[in-house]
Formats: sequence, C-alpha cells, structure tokens
Amino acid sequence: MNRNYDYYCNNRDSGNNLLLDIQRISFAIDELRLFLDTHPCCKEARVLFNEYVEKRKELVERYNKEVTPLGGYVQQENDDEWQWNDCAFGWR
Amino acid sequence: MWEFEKRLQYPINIKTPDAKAAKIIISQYGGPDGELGASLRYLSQRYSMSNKKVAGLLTDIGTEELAHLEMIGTIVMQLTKNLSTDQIIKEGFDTYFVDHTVGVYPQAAAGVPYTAAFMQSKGDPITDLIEDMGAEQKARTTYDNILKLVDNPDVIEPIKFLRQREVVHFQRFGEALGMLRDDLDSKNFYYYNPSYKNGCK
Repeated sequence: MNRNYDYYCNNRDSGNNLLLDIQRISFAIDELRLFLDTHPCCKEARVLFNEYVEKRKELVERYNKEVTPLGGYVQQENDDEWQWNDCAFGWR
Repeated sequence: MWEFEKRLQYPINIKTPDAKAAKIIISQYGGPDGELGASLRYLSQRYSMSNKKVAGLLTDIGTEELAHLEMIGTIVMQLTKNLSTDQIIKEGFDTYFVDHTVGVYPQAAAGVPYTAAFMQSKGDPITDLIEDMGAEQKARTTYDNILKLVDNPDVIEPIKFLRQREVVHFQRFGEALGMLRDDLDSKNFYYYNPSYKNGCK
C-alpha cells in the first residue's frame, strides 16, 4: 500500500463529516434546481440556489485539498503519482 | 456529458448483511420500475421534448436517477457483503448467487433481466410526460412495498429517501405537463403531439 493511499484514506475518515456536509448542501441544490426548472420566476429560490452553490464551493475545495479529489476535473496534489483511484469511491 | 463525483446522493452504511432484503431491493436496480429504466427513459425522451425547459427537467431528473441507481447498487453490495454459503441458501439468495455470485446485475426481484421493453420513448411530449408521472408513482409503490418487507433501519432510511424523491419527481412532471399545455394553441388543444407537426391536419 503506497503512502498516498494511507494518507488519503486516513484523512477521508476524518473527512466524513465534511463529506456529509457536502451531501447535505448538494441535496438542497439538487432540490432547488428541480424546483426552479418548473418555477423559474421564483426569486427566493434563485437567491437560495446561488447562496448554497457558493457555500458548496468552499466545502468541496476543502475536501479536494484535505481528503481526496471529489470530481474528475480536480487538480491533483502533485504530479508524481496518480491519485484519482487511490481512495474510496462513494459506494465503498 | 456528465461529471462523476466520488460520493452518494444520500449516505448508506449498512452494518448487517441481509441477502433476503438484497433479493427484493435488486428490483429497483433493474426491475420494471427501477432506477435504470427511469434514467434511460428520461434521458432518451428529452431529445424529442418540444419545450426547452421541460427537456432540461428531464435531463436533471434523469441525472438524479443515475445517482439513485448508484445508491441501489450500493445497498445491494453492502447487504451481500461477507455472506456465508449457509446464509446464501437459507436466505433464498442461491438462485441469484448461481448466476451472478454477489455481483450487482440489473434484474427484477423474480429474476427477469432488465429490458428496455420496461419503458417507452414515444416521441410525443404529452404521451411521454404522462408515462413519466405513471413511472414515478409505480416506483413509489415499489418503495412502499420494500418498506413493508424490510426491517433494518440502515436500509429503511435510504429507501425512505428514494421514495420521497419519487413523490417530488411526480410533482415536477405534473407541473411540466402544465407548461406543455400552455404551449398548445387553439388548433391543437386536444393534447396532440406538439413535437411532430407534419402529421397534424
């Protein structure tokens, strides 16, 4: 097991609360997106949508840095090793 | 194009394996009203959806259904982890095991493999949306039935979440049908196909 695997996976465990926060806010955004698809004129929902997206951005940036890249378009920690598949996927 | 994220839409953490529950829940992976059919249905129908906003809704809901497919796959995987051969036989999982071991395969609970015949993409926005509303209700009923058959709270929580999503999607599709109705004009208010005008005299 290489150093990076240990590093990422250990951090992932302590990052579980952070992951939960990301899941929570992402769900709120998913729900608002569907609502706005059929209620595009609702200003209140549009404001809330933007507010949550902004907040999510911070959480995801922290997760990318401290735990593991969340998505496939994230800059890797360093270019000596390929880390994308090192750590757990959502279903693990 | 999609971007994959290494997370589930709703957390799943099942501590005790239960092959009997897995055998039932696999139906929402590849059964007649399962998440695979749901995602393929909406993502296919959007190409002939005349109303741009509704085509967007189909894309968004179809995308969420893919996340639900991943959740069901995860539930089945966690429910079948570290099972003994004894448990597999006693809990009635042997008929699945013989063909797929504990791999996740899109099939109905009774073993019928996934088929696109479970769904339609009719090329008529009103026809398709009414099918979609029916599909959400059928999936909701399936989740109701699952909730009658399983008793593990680790399983019940994510299944309840998925059930609630069917209710919300049904609501959104109903609103989308209203948007399509608004698009119809006085020459075409009997709910004729608004995306294929050539056939209309």
